[in-house]
Amino acid sequence: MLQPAFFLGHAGTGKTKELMGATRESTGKLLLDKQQRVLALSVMHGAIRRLEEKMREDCREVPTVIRTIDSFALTVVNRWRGAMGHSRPIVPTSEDSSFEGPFQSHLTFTRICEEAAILIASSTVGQLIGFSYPIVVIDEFQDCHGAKLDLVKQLAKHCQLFAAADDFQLLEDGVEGCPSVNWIREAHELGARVVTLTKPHRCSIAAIVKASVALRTNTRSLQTTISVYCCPVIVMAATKLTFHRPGGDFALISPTHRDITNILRAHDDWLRRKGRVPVYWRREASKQEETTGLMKEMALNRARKVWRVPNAPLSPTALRAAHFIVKASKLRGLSEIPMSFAVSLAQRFMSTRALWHHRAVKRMALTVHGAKNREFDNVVIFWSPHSVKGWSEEMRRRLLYNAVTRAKRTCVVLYLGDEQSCLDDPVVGLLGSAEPAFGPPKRSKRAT
Amino acid sequence: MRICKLHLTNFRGIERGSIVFPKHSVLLGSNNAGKSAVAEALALLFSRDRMYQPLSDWDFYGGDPKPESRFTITATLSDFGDGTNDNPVSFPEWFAGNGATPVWWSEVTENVVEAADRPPQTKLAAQVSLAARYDDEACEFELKRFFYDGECDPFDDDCRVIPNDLLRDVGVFLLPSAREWDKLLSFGSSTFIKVLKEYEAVPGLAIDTLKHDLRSRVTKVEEAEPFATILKDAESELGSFFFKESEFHLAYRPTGLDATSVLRSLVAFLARDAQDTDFLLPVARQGSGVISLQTLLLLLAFGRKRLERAKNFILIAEEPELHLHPALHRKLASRIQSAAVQSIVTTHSPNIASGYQPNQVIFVRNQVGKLSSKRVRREAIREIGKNRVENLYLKFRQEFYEALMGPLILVPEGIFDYHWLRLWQRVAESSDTAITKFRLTPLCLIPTSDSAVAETFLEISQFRPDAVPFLDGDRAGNDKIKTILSSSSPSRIVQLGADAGAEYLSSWILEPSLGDPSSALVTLLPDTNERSLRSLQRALSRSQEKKDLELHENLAWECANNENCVLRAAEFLYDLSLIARGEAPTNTAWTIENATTGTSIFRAGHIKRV
Repeated sequence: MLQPAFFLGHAGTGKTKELMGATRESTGKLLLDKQQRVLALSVMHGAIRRLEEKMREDCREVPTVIRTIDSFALTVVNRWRGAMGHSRPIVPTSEDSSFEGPFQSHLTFTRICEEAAILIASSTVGQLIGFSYPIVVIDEFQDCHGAKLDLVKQLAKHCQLFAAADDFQLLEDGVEGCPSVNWIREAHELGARVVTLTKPHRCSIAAIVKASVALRTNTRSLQTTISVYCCPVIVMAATKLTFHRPGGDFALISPTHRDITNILRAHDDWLRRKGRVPVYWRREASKQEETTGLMKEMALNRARKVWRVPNAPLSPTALRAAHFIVKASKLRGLSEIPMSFAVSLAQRFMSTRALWHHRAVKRMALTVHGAKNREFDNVVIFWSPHSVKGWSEEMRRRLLYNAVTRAKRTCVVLYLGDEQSCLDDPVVGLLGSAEPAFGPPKRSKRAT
Repeated sequence: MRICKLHLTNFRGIERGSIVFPKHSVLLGSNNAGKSAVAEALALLFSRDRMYQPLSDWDFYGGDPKPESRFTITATLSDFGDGTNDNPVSFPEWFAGNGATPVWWSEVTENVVEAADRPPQTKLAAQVSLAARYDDEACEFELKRFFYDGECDPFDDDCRVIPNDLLRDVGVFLLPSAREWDKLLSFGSSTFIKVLKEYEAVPGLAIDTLKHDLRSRVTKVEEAEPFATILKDAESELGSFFFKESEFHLAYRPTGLDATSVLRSLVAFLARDAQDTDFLLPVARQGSGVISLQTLLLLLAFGRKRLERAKNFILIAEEPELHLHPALHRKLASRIQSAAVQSIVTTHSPNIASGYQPNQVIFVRNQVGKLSSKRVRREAIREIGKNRVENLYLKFRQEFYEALMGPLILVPEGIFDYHWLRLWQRVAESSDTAITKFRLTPLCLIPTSDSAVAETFLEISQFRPDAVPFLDGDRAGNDKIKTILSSSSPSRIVQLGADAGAEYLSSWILEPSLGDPSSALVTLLPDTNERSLRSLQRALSRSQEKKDLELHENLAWECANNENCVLRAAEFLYDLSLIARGEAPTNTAWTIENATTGTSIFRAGHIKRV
């Protein structure tokens, strides 16, 4: 059995680079047949593009298949669906439980990963997958847990596994500790190679590095780190945002969607009051929010049995989704479209769309979760202590850490509250000193 | 590699059905049984491009495809490599990455087992499928060839498309029944080009030389008088329109002067010998037999070449017997079997079929779209063992196969019943009067030895439940009816009248000629006073005369001049065919008894012992 190799390290310590290097080195030894490929896996959709870029940069000549763990599992289960007792093609569902549709079996991704793990545990399937993909590469491995992690464990029995992880970047609610990193520790005892990286590469800006160290180690920085501006009211934060104009691309990151909505609204109001041209922020709505919106617009309502294209004018996305549903129904020979069929098609439409939804623009507004695994020249973090109350202190630190480490050049925190509460905050307080958003009159004059 | 199973839905005249292929097989069946559909389905699935016309509405069952209509052709492939290795990793081009899903073929259940690991007594297999639909918006047909993982709609569900090279490696070649020279052996035919490419034998340089020769070194028609003068006049007239001398003039050559045109315009001739090229005869003018055989032999030569290179070769031949002398049929069958890894032959010729073991003969039937196929036996002849139907496969194989394909089947009680009926059939069919009066449907007779009528019927009823047992009216006949009814339930049984055997039937037919006896009849009944029906019955039943086939022949053919005799024979045979078809016989002397099992016993009251 091949021993897996792991790369652990903080954000920006060059884990991915090491990962690619290890992959490149072992291809000559392991990729022998022209049918064989490197299988590059990511846990989330968002990381696919980054993985693609990295593979292109560092493993240009290596034949690679890049997939999310979920979609890889889906392919395996669909191929061997007969052996798993499914007579119909399998499509993933976002509902809580699996069900049989009119033409397909709808399984949750958890179930799909579980079944794929069972299949790969069998010797024929395991051998065949191991032969087809002698090398499996996983970046952001800390996000992998539960059924996905079990699947990876099965893969590691047949393939050479290379994975990079940073347990502090796991942002999942309800997951205790970091299961994947725990597994890495176990594997290490059994002989797996574990490389721990400490030297920061991505960001050479001392302030950002110091801030990330403070958050990670939970020690209040005695030196100045990144700027924290205290804004007792949201209008002040909005004003500050308007005057913040660094070069390069620019991300506004906040823990929740509601925070983003609030600050952008205040920002718009301020611009309107001052008679200025509105500024376009590309808002990455949560997938859930988008799907709900689309369902509402297209009158996809489980209360009714049959779906018809709504008469009201539709947005371009809804139009495409409607066309997708109508075409698929025609292929199946349905004169009436059952609601359950339409809903599952709409969900499929949204999930394929999500794949193409990660192009960078100049100004983006996103949540910490949405910003995961991505990089921006400049980051402004809007932090409202009220909205993160529900999370544990540990989780809040991880959130802020993730937001801070997305920055390549500059990072600024806009804290909703006064100086004192900011310094007392167990998370933001770690960043050291804080200053009022708008100081004495002469400073504000200079700003205008 | 070989094809072990084919499953069709909505293809041509077949709504649904599957067929299992042994290594070498012959498909037997009446017209429209779906033999050609099976052969062409395989060719369509495995050929890189369509060798025939593009798809049409008629390729879909019912001939009226809707947007949701699909026809599918799904094949199971097995025996990868030398057939002993069952590890899919050994065949990465088929199974690795996004390839076929390994499934397991069981020769016992003749089915695929879908399991992650190999169950005992199964072999590694892969399933490939083709689906087609009609796109009513684009007004065109769409085809997809994909790895089959269970029922799905490849036009909506995700599917993994099969790389073309992989399908080509299966090496399926079809010899279609429409064997026209220009279609199959000209350079315009893709089969022929395929063959040449496989040999790396496309005569590229020669074509190039020929192309250049045709450009300059040919007789120039445009220079021949008076045509040349006319051309010149027209050219100078043309010049006056443009106020200058034309730079171009007309020239004529036998073909377009590019390589493709030259290649396509080549016509094959038979030259008397290599030196004497003056004597040429276009091959297209040759008899169909020569062309037919030549095409087949070319494909076989091609196959040999592939086998030498350790490549797979599966030959599908539609009616290889076409235009060939029957004596060549069996030889052909054995040549086909030796030249291919797998061969599938469709035929109407019992002669070809009898060149195969009964476990290689597949009887194909199509009942309102449901294709059913059954191997005549599951075991080879030597394993059938000694039993009463053994002769069906040893002695009467050809008759048996012929009957299977026939429209109506009669199973006479013994060998003499068979001979008599067959004789009367020939006599009746040779007479114009009989043919005009009675529309005689071909009635196939199955010889039964040792009066094993019950066993023979049981054997044939597996394929043709509509077969009709034909029994004597004596006690032995009654006993046999009981035996038949205890083991099966034919819908109809025919029995001769009280105590009557086949000789009594012949006596009844010969009766009108007693007044004007033929010479054979005179020899049989020398005493003029003894020429009665009763004495005829007695004479024919005597143990020596009963078996005298020569006498029977003479009696039958000599009475063919007596119209009344012929009409009696024809009437009886016509009644038999009516009964076999489930209709009422014409002669009022027939009685019908409904046996308890739902079987109707038809008794010929007019044929009885007097």
